[in-house]
Amino acid sequence: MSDLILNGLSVFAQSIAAFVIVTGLLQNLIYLVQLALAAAALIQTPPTPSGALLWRRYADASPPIALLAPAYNEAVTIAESVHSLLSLQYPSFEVIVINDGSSDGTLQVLIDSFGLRPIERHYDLPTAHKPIRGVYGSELQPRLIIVDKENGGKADALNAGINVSRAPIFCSMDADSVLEADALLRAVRPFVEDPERTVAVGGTVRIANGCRIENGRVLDIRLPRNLLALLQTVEYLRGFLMARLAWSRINTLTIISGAFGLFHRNRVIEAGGYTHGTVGEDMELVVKLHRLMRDKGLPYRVAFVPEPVCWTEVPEDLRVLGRQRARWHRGSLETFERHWDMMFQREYGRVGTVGFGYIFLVDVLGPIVEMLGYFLIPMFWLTGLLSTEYLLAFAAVTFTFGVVISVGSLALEESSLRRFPRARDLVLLTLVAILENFGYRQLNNIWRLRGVWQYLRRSQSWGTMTRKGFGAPAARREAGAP
Amino acid sequence: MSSLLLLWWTSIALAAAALACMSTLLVGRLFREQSYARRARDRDRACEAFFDVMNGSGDALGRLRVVDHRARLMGEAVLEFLAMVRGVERDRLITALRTINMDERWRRCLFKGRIAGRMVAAEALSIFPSPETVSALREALNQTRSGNLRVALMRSLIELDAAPPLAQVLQDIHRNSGSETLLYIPLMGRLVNGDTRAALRAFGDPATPPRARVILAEALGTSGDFRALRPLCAAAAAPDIELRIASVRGLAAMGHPAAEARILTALQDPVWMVRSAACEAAGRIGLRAAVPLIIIQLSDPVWWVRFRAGEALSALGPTGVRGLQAAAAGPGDLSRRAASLALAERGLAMTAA
Repeated sequence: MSDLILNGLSVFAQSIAAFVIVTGLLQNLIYLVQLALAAAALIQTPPTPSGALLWRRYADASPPIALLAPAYNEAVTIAESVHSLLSLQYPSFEVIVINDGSSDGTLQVLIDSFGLRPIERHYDLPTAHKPIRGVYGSELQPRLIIVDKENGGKADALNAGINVSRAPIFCSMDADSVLEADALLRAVRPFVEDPERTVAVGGTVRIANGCRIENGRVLDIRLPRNLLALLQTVEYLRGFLMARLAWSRINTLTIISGAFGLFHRNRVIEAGGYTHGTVGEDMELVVKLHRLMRDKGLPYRVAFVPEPVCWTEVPEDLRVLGRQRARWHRGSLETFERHWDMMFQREYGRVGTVGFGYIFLVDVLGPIVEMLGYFLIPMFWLTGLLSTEYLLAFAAVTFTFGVVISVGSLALEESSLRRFPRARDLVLLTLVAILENFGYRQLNNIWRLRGVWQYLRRSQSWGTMTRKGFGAPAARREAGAP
Repeated sequence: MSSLLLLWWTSIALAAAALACMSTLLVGRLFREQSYARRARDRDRACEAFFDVMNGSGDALGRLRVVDHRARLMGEAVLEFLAMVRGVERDRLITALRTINMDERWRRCLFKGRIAGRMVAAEALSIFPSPETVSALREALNQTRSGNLRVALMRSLIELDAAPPLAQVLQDIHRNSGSETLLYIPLMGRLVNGDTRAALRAFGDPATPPRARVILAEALGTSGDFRALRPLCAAAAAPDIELRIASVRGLAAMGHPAAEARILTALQDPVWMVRSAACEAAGRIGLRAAVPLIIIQLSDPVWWVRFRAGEALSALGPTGVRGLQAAAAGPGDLSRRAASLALAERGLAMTAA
């Protein structure tokens, strides 16, 4: 009898181990494919030089853009941020700052800084949002519009901005992010080169911690001095330069960071705008666009620009980072739940198979399987079901593979963009790519599991994030997902 | 090989691959740092020499010769400078570059190397009017299939007053019909201005691809050539929606009151984009006869049409404003709100409804 139980346990253990291993292998295979696709994309479309050349080539043909910057309690930094946005190099754009019911005098700072006065503006209400209390304009800055509305969250503020804007393309961003001077001109390229099909364009977001920033411009690129921010630097490289670039190449990109993204206004309105009541509104919108275009049977493209266009400050504190990651993961799960019926459906093509398959494998199963692996494999080893030799060999393969993927992303950065000015930056990032496998990766998994738990409990809190600020301290909501 | 051994060999291979990759990158970076430093130094030299040339300094040519082998770097620097410089200084710089045979060097670059470098060469050659340059640009245009390089070559040819035949550009647009790049629109405007007769012929030719006709319609309108009036009026009633919209926009750009009848018809078009374009056109041309029809558009179900109607009426002077005021005091909810907001937005009324 005891033999039977032992045998049963052994079979169960082997099945679990096989499931964990197969899932892990599949994930690793996907990362390898992403690396190859991203490399191919970078070879096919090398980065464009900046400055006069970019202007000469694209300015005449570039469509107008409305820059939507939702602001919530950003009185300390808002004036500088808006000045920086107004000095972007783009032939035709307007900046629409949406004051989302701030309680710290953000609106008054804007009124005082830009000599604003109430204006009448004719706008439609195709997307739902909380009531607008007033619209302000300035004779000194005709490009600037301020929308003052009741508090409703980022998605709600962006919907208000979409309604008030009149340009065919809008750019959603965080008011506290720093944009490259030619960010719009760079990111608009897919809309210029393929205007009929392009519905959205994502841009690479880089980490601003450690960089020298003055007057809303990154003057000197440096690596962060904080270890946690350094670990996130490697993570962002992997996320943007590898994963997003790869998926955009096969038109299966399902997320564009809330920190920077260009969208076809009419298509977003057709898709219903940003969804309320989710913390992953950026991902949700992109998935809705995929669904809309597939349902209509229209050819379309969700593109991605590998050159860095936006700089953001990341948490340097475990508690804040944990909250942010849990929220991002919750956002992914919520989007998956709302649109799971697209998965593996023929009418949704690659988005249904590759895009949703990836979300299912990496976001839904990923944290649970990885945690199962961390928990069960030592258990099997302790109970003698797994030999020490195998345990060590598995661990070695898992860690070395993680290092290869991170190093691959670094190689992509170094071979095409080369934004880290010093050779020692590369050495440091390589060491960090190794180090992240020992502790940080596992910690990240715990945060993602916390996200699963919050998702199951239907928690809707955003949490607060204390930022150092590029010039001055400020407390505000967390930035968008990378 | 046992599975255990396979696992160990896999991890060793992965670790070796990562190590090799990073070592290569680091060694490459060390070499590249030197080449970057040289490039930055050469660029500084070139820019200093450009300043000296523009100031009329005699020995600047010698310093330019030191860096003249760097065709792409020189091209990028020249284009950046010339975007900011006009007049005598610009002429001096071009003469100096010609003296050190940069034009010849860039002509050679059109046929070799990476597309990015060839594009810079094509763009830089736009400042050297000569039969050799035109001939080289044309030859490169005939040889290359890269869309971006073709646009750069065409633009330089247009800037050198040696525009490629319209048919060739139209063919390019047709070839790229899968991705209707906007890059051709400014080119087409310049081409049509240069040879309106050919553009009119192509516009009237049923064999011209639909997308090309759409681009031609707007370009013909902005050319201001009144010979385009009749074909544009005819096209504004075409079954192709895109062509109708573009033709009405063309008529608006032309601003000729003879388009009145067609604009009045377009104001009643079943497609809202055409109605919206017609409102805009009526405002731009100043068609007072369109006021009653535009007032009706203030209650259009589509917001854009209502908005454009409000804009058009405010642009139509006292007659239009009176129409808006009447609508603002009228019975319809949509038209009352649209009219009130249009008045308020232009400071013509104290409050919006």
